[in-house]
Amino acid sequence: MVEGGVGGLVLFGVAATATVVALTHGEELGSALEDGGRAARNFAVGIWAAVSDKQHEKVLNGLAANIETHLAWLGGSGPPGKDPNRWGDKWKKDIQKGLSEMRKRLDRLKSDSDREKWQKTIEQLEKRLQDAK
Amino acid sequence: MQNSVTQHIELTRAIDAWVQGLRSGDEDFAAQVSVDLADLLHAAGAVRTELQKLLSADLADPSSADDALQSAANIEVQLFTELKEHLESLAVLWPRVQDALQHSTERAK
Repeated sequence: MVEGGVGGLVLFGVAATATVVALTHGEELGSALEDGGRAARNFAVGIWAAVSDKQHEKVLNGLAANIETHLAWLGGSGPPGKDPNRWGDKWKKDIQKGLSEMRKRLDRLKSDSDREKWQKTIEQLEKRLQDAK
Repeated sequence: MQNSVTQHIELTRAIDAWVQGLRSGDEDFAAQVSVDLADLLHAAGAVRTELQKLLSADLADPSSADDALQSAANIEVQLFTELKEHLESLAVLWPRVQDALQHSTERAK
């Protein structure tokens, strides 16, 4: 109870001081807070962009590896004596969906050089899909 | 890789042949069921492998932590593209396999 009273007094003191400072240096304080807020926001956006790109690239790696696996299945598919494209058509659709996911991720990348790199990878995979039997 | 490709094709072929035996002449149905089932089993195996890598990662080591992030991304791809797509497709097709199996067992009586 006593601690709570002391705590309340301290809080009141801090609030009162802040009010006095705000009244006497209102414009400067507002400007400083705004600048600080903007800097903090830019810093956070910068970090988020970096983290985000890294995560997008990891998922792009995973999607590309999954497409490679499907291209390998496509290369080895075709039950003997049956239409060789019967399963191939299903895997081709899977690959197309994977490429579509890759394009969505590509659009979220902030770095131009990373976007260019992944655009080339997507184009190469698309070419291999077109050339697949 | 080539060995796992061969195994995957063999499993797909075995399921395909079994489903065709169950629903004679329905090649497209058999192809879809076999691809869905074989692919989702492959995806589940990949999730297990990546999970084992995640669990053994030393997150205090930057290189190992980076590998763990890749494993987590690979799990995302397998769960939310491969497994999800094939499960949703099988959810529609599998009851028809069970129906055909039931008819087959009733005919055998």
